[in-house]
Amino acid sequence: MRVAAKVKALPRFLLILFVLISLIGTLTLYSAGGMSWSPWALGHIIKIIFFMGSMLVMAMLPPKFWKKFAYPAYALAVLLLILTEIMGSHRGGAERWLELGGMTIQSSEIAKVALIFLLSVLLSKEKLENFNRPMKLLFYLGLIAIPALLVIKQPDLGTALLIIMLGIFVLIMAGLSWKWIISGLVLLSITVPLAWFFALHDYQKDRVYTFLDPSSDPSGKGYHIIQSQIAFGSGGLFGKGLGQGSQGQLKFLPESHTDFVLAFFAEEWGAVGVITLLALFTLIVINLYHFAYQARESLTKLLCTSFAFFIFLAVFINSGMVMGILPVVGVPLPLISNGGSMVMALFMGMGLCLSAMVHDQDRHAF
Amino acid sequence: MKKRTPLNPTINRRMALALSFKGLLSVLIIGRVVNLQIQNRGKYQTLSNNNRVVTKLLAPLRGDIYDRNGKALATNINYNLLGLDISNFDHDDLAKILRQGLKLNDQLLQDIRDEIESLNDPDTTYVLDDYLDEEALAYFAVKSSIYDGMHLISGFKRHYPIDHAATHVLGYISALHQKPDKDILEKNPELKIPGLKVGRTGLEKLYDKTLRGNAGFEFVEVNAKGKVIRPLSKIDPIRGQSLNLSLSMDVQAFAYDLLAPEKSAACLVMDVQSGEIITCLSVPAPNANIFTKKIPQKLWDDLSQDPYTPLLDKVNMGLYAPGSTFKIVSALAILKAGISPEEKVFCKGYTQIGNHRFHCWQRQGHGWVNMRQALSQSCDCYFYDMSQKVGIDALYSMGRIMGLGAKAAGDYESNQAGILPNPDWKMKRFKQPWFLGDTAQTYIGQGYITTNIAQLCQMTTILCTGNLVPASMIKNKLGVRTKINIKEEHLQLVRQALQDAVVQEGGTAGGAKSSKITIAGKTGTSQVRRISLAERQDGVKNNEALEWQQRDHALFVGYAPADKPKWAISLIIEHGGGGGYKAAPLAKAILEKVKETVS
Repeated sequence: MRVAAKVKALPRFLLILFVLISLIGTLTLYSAGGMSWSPWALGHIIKIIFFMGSMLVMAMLPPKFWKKFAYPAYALAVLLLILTEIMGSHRGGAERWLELGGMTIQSSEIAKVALIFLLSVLLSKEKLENFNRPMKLLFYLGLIAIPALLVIKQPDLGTALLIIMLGIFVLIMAGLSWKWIISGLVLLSITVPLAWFFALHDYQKDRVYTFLDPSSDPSGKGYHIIQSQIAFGSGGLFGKGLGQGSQGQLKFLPESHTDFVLAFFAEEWGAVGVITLLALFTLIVINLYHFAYQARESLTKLLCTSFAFFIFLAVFINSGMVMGILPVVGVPLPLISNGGSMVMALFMGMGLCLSAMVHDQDRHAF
Repeated sequence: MKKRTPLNPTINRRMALALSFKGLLSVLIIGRVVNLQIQNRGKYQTLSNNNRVVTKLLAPLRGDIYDRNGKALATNINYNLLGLDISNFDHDDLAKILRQGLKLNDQLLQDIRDEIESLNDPDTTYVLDDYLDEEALAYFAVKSSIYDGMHLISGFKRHYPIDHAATHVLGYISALHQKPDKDILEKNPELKIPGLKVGRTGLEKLYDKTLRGNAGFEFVEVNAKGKVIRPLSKIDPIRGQSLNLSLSMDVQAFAYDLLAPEKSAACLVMDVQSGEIITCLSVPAPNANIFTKKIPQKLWDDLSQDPYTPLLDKVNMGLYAPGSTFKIVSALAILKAGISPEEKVFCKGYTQIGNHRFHCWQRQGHGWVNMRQALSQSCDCYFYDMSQKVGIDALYSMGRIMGLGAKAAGDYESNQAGILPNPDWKMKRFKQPWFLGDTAQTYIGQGYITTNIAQLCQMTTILCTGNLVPASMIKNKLGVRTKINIKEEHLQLVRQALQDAVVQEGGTAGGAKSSKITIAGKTGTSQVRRISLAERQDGVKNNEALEWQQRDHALFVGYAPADKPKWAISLIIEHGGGGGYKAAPLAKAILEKVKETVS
């Protein structure tokens, strides 16, 4: 395919949506920084421009090219997780971050993308009958388990569960047979109570308690949630306006530039603002699904739906946590929360996706 | 080819499943958004508005004051205060509660009411630290659990363990009645604390900033009623720094016991090399602890009207004619003018200047005296005579060099400059010309000239060392020494005369002769009244025969040891009569004590 044709094949609507959300994110961080480009807004938009650019470059190369990197990328991700385990810095109470040459990397985000990509690549080659055999299944589950277990050791149960969910999603989309799905659910209903009583750390149990009743510990663990709900609630229908969020601006709202940025946004833009933002994310998901449905190659389908799920999951969990209907798990809101790792992971994942989407009509590119 | 994409139909089917699943979850999210932001808006709105962060100022503990040996002169002791957030109370209700709890008469209650009413800021806390005996405390302890905005505060109050002996030099602290200016408040936020006591006089005032310390801050989250929900963070207050004074309490207490019976007196002892003040005493002195609470009006009236002026710090604020102690300066002026110290004057008991007769205190006269003898025996006629030769301007210059006519240098919270007269001054002040008689009077330390004890001591240290050393109240804090422009041999001459005054026959300071330490000094008798001609003819009335108010002041300035001066003293007994008689022996006792206790 010629470059001009590739560019033409880029899904414009999707890209516009990304740009819109990125701008909203930058504006929110600007406000969170006290109506100033520093300390977050400037860095954020620079990272976005850089990685979006990289995404477009990746899109120009055929999936055939990227497939070669499926295993190596996975291995690299696992390596990074191991390094984080060994050298990681304990910000926020868990070894989630790795500091390399001045940059902090959330290695779990990279692991998610690598896992999704590898699974999609492998599964796209499979036949339906084949991969439902126990041995094959075990292999795939193993691929999921490795990063998940490394993350559990951090210790970060929430993110590990996310990795597992993302991995299993790809399997389900690819056609995991119902018998396995049901057996899986049964297994879950047995292990969860067992894990609760024997395996969960106290603080993890506390997370659930606090989730169920945040007011039981308003100055400690419940504080985030309560303050977040207050910020949300006080925004009302139309919000208080840019720079007027008293909870966020007066520093009542902790982590207002990272995990709880949606609450900050909600206080300033109200229900209307939040629903609009969520609608934009929804449009991205729908758009990806639409494309996937019409796509020729199964790799394209798998990549689009899996990354759509990746985005959906992040948005769902983050907003649920911020609004108090889900326990606190450290998932950033894509393109809004401050943090380079999520931006990088998202755009690299989308780069792979776009590569598949652009080249979808060309069988030889796969 | 078809084999390459066997999963497609499956994936398509699964997509539908996934989308519907996601759709369900999205509904959940949207629902929650609506719930939070639209339905429960009122509840969360209030919550956010009422989450106010309030800064509470934490009062710092005042620094202590110690003498040179670490003896406590001012400390803080714990006691209880009643705090009232006046915005929570109706004034009448409050009056009722106070009446019940405090059992005060109507006048005192009204005073308290007035004070509360006069508080400008309705958000402030009125602090009551008086009248809280045990019964009252118990009463309010109970009431404070009923009334929001009434709290018993455990506080600290200033305590002066030594009662009387250092009252003036230490000063006292009390709460500011007026809010200070904005810029002062900005630099000193601790002043915002209601009821914070600051130094008002003396060292408590001079070193107030050091002693005060820094306020701490506590950030608390409060609801709309001001009730503390939870503390957020805290910065502890920084205790005020303590002062280590150069004062020796041993000497101070000794001097107090010695001088108190004299009814009204003052004395200052300085280390001549370092400028450190060993003793700074003014009697009578009230008990310093009476100032830590509000003084009852009657007591204050008594103190103000007491003829012995217990509220006055006589060392710095009392101004007296220096009398013969000023002859030290006169002698130096005479020497500087070029007159030989060996030149003699015949004293026959008086000197005629113009048509006025100026009398010597020795009615029979001293006979022929040179300077050394004139100083040692304190002959007035010698100085009257020389005054006409040397003149007032030379004396004025010398007086300025010796530190008179200006405030004494050093750690004095407030002091007076006194008057060193000259023709210009007299013209400005009285619109009258200068008379020769004025010169004569000034040369013997009478007339218009006034000094305070601090200046006299400073003058003596200059004599001893040839340097001006600022007085220091703080141990080991030494000021800059300035060399004085007087010839060493002149100073030496005067010093020898002062030694003679103590040990030689005829010297007026014989009362200061000590076996324990060699003292050199000059007595002075500062006349309080003009002796009428009639009295002179009858024979001037003896000091004892006069009422206290009319008796002359007794002065002494001196230093010891005479050969290598270490300490200088200036001392006055108000209305004490002749200086040699009263002041010299007291100065000797004090200097002996200094030698004994201060290394």
